[in-house]
Amino acid sequence: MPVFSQHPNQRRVKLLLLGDPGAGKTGLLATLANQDYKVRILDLDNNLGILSAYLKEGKADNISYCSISSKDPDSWKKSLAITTKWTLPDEDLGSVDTWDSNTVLVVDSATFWNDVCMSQVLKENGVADDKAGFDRSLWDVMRKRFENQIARLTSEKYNFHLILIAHLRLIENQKTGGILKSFPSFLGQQLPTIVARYMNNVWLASRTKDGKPVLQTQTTRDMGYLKCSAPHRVTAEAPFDLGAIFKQIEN
Amino acid sequence: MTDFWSKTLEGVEDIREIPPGRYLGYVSGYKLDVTQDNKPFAVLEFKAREALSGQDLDGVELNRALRSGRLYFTDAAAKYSKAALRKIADINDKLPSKEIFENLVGCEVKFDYKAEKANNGKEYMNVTSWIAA
Repeated sequence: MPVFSQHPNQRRVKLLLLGDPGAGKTGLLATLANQDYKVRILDLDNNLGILSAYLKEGKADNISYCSISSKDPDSWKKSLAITTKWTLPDEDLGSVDTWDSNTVLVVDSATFWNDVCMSQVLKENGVADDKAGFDRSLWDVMRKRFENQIARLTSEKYNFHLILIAHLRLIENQKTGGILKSFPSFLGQQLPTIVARYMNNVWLASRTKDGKPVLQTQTTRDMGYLKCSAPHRVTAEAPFDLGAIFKQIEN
Repeated sequence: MTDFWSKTLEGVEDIREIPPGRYLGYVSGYKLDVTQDNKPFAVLEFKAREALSGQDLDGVELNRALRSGRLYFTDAAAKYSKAALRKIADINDKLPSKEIFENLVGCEVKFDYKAEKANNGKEYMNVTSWIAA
């Protein structure tokens, strides 16, 4: 019987990367390219320019991206197409099920991807975007549809690493008398925890008191949902270098 | 570019929802929580490996987590919830405890996934019953 530690997907990183705007989430992706990972970015945030500031010389070719405007009426279908088979007019990287563990698929940001999913559901049902709050049944449709895609991207049939970048939002905790807690920004009350449960790593890009950028990789008092698949290899406050951390987890 | 996308998007469809029926699968996770009026409950998560009642799984994603309804652990409800959990593993301890649920994760089960009416009158797809496989 094979030993579980040798299971190929044991070292697959499925990371939900959280952080406030300006925390350096997108810039972190350059550190993966600098370690020679092939980084494929589904860009819904239109903010990849920052990458060049962090890329080492000769590493730019390690990054491929597909920018889709979240305002595009076909953005949901385009995102499904590109995360199934990465074929663009000037670049064909094949079906994602052929990608190996030296490849990282990034959804930047999954928060906007979730918005795009909602827009698609509303469009199919002939509802204007600003009416989303009035029809709970459509929220359920969106949630299931989005969860299906998260389930697909995290399934064992794939070998590539996955990063979903998400913004943070404050949610009132009704059980504790209205204390605000910071959660991954997805639509509705359920999706933040549902998405986090599919991922084996949930990390926060933040800064120390003296302004140094760090990755928080394990539960803190304020953020009980942070987790790390290899806490024996990755420190609780890890250096701001995703490429180095991925190598630590793989080795 | 428009031509490129219109061709690329041909046949792009969303993943089908997992159809109702009986499945062979495993307990993939759990959630322990309390309601706003402080009633403790648990929700079990299951993942299917194969269909046992002839369901068509073409275009379905089996990695999708399927959830049970709430198992309450109030004084009145605890014995029913314990009985439901005993169908998967030997449960003797006072519930709910994290350790007990941790031990359930990974257990092979047969389970039924179907529409269930909630207290608000709406129907939700839930894992409604299970037994160790």
